[in-house]
Amino acid sequence: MSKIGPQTQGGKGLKRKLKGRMIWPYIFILPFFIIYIAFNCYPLIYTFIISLNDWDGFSQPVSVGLANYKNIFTEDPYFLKSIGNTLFFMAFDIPIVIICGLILASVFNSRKLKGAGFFRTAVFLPYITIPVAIGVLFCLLFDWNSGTVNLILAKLGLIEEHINFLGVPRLARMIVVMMICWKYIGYHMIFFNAGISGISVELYEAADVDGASAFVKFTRITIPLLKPIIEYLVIMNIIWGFQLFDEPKVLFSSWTSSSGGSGLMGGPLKSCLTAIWYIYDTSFGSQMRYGKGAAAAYGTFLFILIFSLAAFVVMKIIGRKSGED
Amino acid sequence: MTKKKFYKIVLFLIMILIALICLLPFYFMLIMSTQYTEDIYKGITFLPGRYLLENLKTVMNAHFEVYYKNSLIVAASATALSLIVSTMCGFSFAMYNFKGSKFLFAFVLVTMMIPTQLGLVAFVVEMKAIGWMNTLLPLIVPPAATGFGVYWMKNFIGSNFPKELMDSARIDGASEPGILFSIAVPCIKPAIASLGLMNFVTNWNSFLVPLIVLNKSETYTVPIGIINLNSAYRNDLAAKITALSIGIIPLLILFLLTAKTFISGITMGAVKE
Repeated sequence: MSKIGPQTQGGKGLKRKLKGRMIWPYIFILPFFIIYIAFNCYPLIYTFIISLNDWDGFSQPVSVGLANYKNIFTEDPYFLKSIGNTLFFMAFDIPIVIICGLILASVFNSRKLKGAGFFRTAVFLPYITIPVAIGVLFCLLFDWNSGTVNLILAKLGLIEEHINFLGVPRLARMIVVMMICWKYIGYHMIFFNAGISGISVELYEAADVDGASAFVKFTRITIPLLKPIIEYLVIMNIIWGFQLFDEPKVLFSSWTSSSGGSGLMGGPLKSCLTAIWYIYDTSFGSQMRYGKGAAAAYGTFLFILIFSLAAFVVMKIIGRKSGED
Repeated sequence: MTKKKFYKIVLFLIMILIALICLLPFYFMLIMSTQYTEDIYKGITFLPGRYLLENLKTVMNAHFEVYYKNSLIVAASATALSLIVSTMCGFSFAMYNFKGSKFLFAFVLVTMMIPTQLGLVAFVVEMKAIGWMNTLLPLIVPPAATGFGVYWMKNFIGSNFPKELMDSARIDGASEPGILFSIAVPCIKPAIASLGLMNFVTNWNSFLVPLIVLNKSETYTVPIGIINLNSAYRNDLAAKITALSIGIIPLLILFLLTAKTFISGITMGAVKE
């Protein structure tokens, strides 16, 4: 930190001048705090107040206390279902993206393969594609009538009738998991890549001298040294996981159908309804229940807190145990 | 063949396979955009058809270029604003030891953990109250304050801008904003490029907020345009797919041209070296 306290400098004039300058750090941070407080803090707090009311956004709000919370936790089955769906997706995709990302990064980092740069870019491409377009792409791939996957399977003679991937709850969920993995594996790979290139080569060379196998090097050097990155990614994945909305929303919007229908809210039997989708639909979609939507936002927040804290504690315990070995 | 060479070939094949999995959906999309709608339903083809121009004509008739213009305005101004806000704030946290700086920076870190979508309901009420519905402003001003941007700039400036430069500039009589904008900013150009790219992509991709605040087709951005293609073309799947391709390809090209800056930017924030 640069010290511009008056003690370090001589002269009374300079002192006064520097004191005058101490206003600048505050001016520099002001825009951030003004915008953040006006458009993030304020809505967060105001959402809590709305959650205590019954309100459609137009008429006079009616104070109902905690009724909205009671509604989403005990009466409307779909809020908890949306949380359950979100957890289901995370239970599959977090291990997959982290393990695959880690393996890909360590395999393609250690050797100077031809075309590694092209490979890295290709794997990363899905991550920067518009999420809406990813939903549409998977809709095109797995559509019942015109889906590419169905057409290929039929051509190969593997299936007699087209599979309704997006219409059966269990299959639809698998497609969503696949979509998330397809999008995020590259991102995780890049992250681990940077982490691995930060590990000193000498460690691996010393292990080579001891005759360690690639597997031993991976589990004893790579994973322990990447632990901070893995922990960071797990926590962030939980926070991002609860924000899932764009891709599933578009995937089930029946984009490919010629009728231009509005599609299934939440996928077949609401099996792919996510937390944010529930909030959106309750407040701005099929219903205009702002209070209930706001309560669902705070409900979701509660689950984010619980699960990211739980993950944090579990990882600390695992970390301590493996440290004792 | 030696064992080592064999491994190398296997690895190379796996690499190709994975790259194919990542790229094929894009390829199918491009192929379909060159076909006649009826043919898409008939069966799979791996070669381009001859209907690309027809499809393009259909797309242009539906004013997809308006969505483009809106998305460009949103992404460019949101990025510029966010860069200014993040640089100023990051610079302040990195270079000054002012009262409350520790607490305020901790606040910035906490904001990174709170998803903005949770305040969505009240955010929309706020937008209605200040008359920002059906304007692009909700997509430009609020995203300018990102905790990530501040954190990232603070880290970069803290480790790349020497404090001696600040002191000598002060002795030369430079003002504090002068130091920031004419001495520090040129020193951190790579950071600005990376963060700018990341912000651009995030803002271009933004979906949930525009979905709610933009209800008039002349204010649609590209993502909203894409999901509303249904009502514009109805039965013409090929035209829809062509519009989708037009909607995403420029961003992919931008990424391909800047992949290195972009990728290093993403990891720089979280991986400390």
